[in-house]
Amino acid sequence: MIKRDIVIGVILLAIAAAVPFLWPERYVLLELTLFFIYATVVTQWNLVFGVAGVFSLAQMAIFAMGGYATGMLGLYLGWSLWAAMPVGAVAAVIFSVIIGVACLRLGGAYVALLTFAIAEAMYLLIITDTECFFMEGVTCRNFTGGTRGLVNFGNFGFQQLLGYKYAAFGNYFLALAILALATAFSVFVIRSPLGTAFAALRDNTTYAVARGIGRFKYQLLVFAASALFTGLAGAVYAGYFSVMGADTLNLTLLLLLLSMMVVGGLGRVWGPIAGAATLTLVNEGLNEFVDWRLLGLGLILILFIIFWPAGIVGAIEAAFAWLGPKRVAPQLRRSPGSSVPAATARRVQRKATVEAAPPEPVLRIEAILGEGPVWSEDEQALYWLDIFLPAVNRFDPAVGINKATPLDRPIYAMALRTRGGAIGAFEDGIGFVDIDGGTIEIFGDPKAGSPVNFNDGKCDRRGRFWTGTMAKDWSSPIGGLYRVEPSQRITQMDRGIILSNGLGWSPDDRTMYFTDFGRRVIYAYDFDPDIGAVSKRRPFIEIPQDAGFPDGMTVDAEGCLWVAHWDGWRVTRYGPDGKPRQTIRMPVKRPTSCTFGGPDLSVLYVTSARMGLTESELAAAPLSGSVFAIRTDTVGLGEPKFPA
Amino acid sequence: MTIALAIIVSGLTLGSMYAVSSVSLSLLWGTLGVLNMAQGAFLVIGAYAAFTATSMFGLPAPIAILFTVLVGALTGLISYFGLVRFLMNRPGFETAVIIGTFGLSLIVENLVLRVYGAYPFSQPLAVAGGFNVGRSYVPYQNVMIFLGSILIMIVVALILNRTRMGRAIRATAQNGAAAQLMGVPVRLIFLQVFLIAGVLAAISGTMLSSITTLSPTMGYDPMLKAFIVCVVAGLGNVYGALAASFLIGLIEATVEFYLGVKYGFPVLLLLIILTLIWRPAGIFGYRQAAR
Repeated sequence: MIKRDIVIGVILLAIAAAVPFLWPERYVLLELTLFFIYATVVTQWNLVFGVAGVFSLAQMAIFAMGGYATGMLGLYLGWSLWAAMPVGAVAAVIFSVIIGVACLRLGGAYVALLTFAIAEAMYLLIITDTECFFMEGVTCRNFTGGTRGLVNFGNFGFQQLLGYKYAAFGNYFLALAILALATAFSVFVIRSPLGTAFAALRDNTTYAVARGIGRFKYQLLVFAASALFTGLAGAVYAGYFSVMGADTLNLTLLLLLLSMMVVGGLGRVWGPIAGAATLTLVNEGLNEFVDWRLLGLGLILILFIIFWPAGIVGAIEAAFAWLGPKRVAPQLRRSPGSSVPAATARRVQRKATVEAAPPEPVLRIEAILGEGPVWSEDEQALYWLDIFLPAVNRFDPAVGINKATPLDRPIYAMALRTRGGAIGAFEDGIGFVDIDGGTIEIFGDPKAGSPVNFNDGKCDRRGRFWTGTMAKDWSSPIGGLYRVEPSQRITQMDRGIILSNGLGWSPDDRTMYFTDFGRRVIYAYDFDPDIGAVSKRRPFIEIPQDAGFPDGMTVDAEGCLWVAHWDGWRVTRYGPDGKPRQTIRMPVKRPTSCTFGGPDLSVLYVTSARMGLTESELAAAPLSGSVFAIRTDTVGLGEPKFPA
Repeated sequence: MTIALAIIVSGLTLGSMYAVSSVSLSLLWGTLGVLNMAQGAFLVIGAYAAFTATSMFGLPAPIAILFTVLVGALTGLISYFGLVRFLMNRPGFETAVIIGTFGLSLIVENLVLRVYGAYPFSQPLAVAGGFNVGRSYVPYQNVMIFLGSILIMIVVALILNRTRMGRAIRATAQNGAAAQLMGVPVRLIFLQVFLIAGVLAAISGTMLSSITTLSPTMGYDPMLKAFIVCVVAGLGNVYGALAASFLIGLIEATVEFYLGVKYGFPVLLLLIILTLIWRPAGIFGYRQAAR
């Protein structure tokens, strides 16, 4: 990722550096310089809002603080702007820290509101500043310059340095340099562990709170650091125009920059630049319709927030993810001249293949024990559980957003209900969960009194919910298999299991698979779908010790089993004959379960765990806890819902 | 004594202006969690609707008021169907709606500017005359706004507390998911609240413009004050909003009298931040979850 960013950055920088020599029109350079200044503000705003999740509307106030401080140092102390600029930036940082301390402990809308009010207060203080601070000849000048703006503080001296002809070059490259630094900083933050932590915080506040992550501290840090570049941009603006006015605090300008951020793509590295470029071009294009600029801006904001909340860069990323290199590369290529995937022909002869490129996470998150992935075909969303930071998660891959509903007790298994919500297995029995509100309503507990917990569970194709139990000591054979009918009747179907785990049914519904993690074995039963009975339990797949333990599983349309190997760093696809056909290496030690999802049910979603891993193991597998997506050449069968 | 009287008269006038500005905002934010950045635009629409009905169409006052109310309702409907409906049930609703309503406010500002221009018309739908209290002159219009703000607050409180619709709205405000499970049609509630908010904002905009002037940007300042009222009052607390409005009006009038007009807003802001640190749910707030 970071390599790609560096390549893109260098290319853009090279183009930007070449423009003045290829196209030295004054107007173009002036417009581009302003573009660089605004893009700098937007990259930093993107860090604050898109990445750190602080909806600050004080970004232009921070910008103005940098500009005014620089101008005042030049005017009142006679400093060179080169010396004043860094001090102005520091003033902006101090200002941002004050704002941050006052606002960042509050929730989303309050932050927006207070930062907005602070910017407005600053604007009002400047434009109502009428007291004489000093006399310039016979005219009275205000401390802030008032409505007239702060003037006569000099500039960067490019005219003397480079001559009149090239003075615009000086400002151009200064603004470009600041933008380059600001972008490098933004790449650094987004791609660093801090950026990942923020993504997790933004996607899942519950975890953050549960794990005691000091959100305030990190948010303040990013807010202050981004103020440095925002302040520098303000200083460059002041030096470039040789005037600093309250019009920089104008609401329309703020909304123009907000639109740049939204149009480009919130939280994306290249979003601000793409958005700033797009809106600058649109603005130029609308020059003839200047009377309707606000309307156009408003429409753009509304259309993007409704229809393309991931912005231009989000759309490009989605397109590349679709067209780009597939995760399960060899199987996905189509043979020339054939519309049938080549893999269909090759499947028969294929032996166990080992995947080269490790799958990448679609959701970077530090789940303690991610489990129970279920794809909802109606919602095109992935539901998954964190058992021990109890939560039902809903991940929407189209927009990349995960929403967690925290629960008040561990949830071991879950199936969606046809009428909404879910049926789940808990410490105190089987019950219904309201996924929006997180409330649980238990209706029965077949294991009461026994030292076991529920574990994995799933609905069969007639909607019966099946779940097993596991010994709390992970070693006594006291677990069982239970069936919950839509009437809420619970029946024990098997016993003698150590640690029940993944289950599934063959496509013809004649075989049921059920895992005993404790014995490293996946059993097969004869299954009667009409009466929901199992018989003739036999070992179907035995997992060798070096391959870890069989955890959650899913069955594909060809009757193959996809099994997550706990401690095995892999997901294996087993044929209906029980023989391994394909191995996918995972970048995590403890993949926990998998299911098929995506528009055509061909994406394998894999959950994982951080539970029980040592610091060094976590360092070796920093993605532990994340949710992964692997494109496959087969399709899943979809998860039935509980019909009540 | 005369000074105190002047401050009280000025504070009550400000307070009633804040009260009328904040009632619709408080309703939307308190019940639906919608921080409506188009609140100012809603006020503008109401003010210009009343102006249009009276000055341009020459309608008598009662019909002009009815027209204003209808336009306000339409504003609420369009906001819901054109924007908010799409953002519901989406993660990040809170911020998405802020951005979307910002867009809405730009559109309204632009349209009003194109249709009416920037000329500061005065609001014809107002009462003339006034009386003296000590040395302060009090226009009847101010008294009307004062009484009107209290009346509106009481009506809204009655709707929320005494009607079936109000119960459903409050249930949605407390726990949308639970309300939905109990059979409350949450989408319908959003629509209803937007309708009511649109109507209230239109009336408020008319009253506000009657003591200032009309302009396409006249809504921003009252909107900002209304935000502050909501924060101080605590979300969704209608009587609290009324009390907070007058409290803030009196504080502002005092500060402006002793320190000068320009410090009114900054001092208020400082008080708000201190309030939030001291009582995040607002002075009259009862919902700790707001934080």
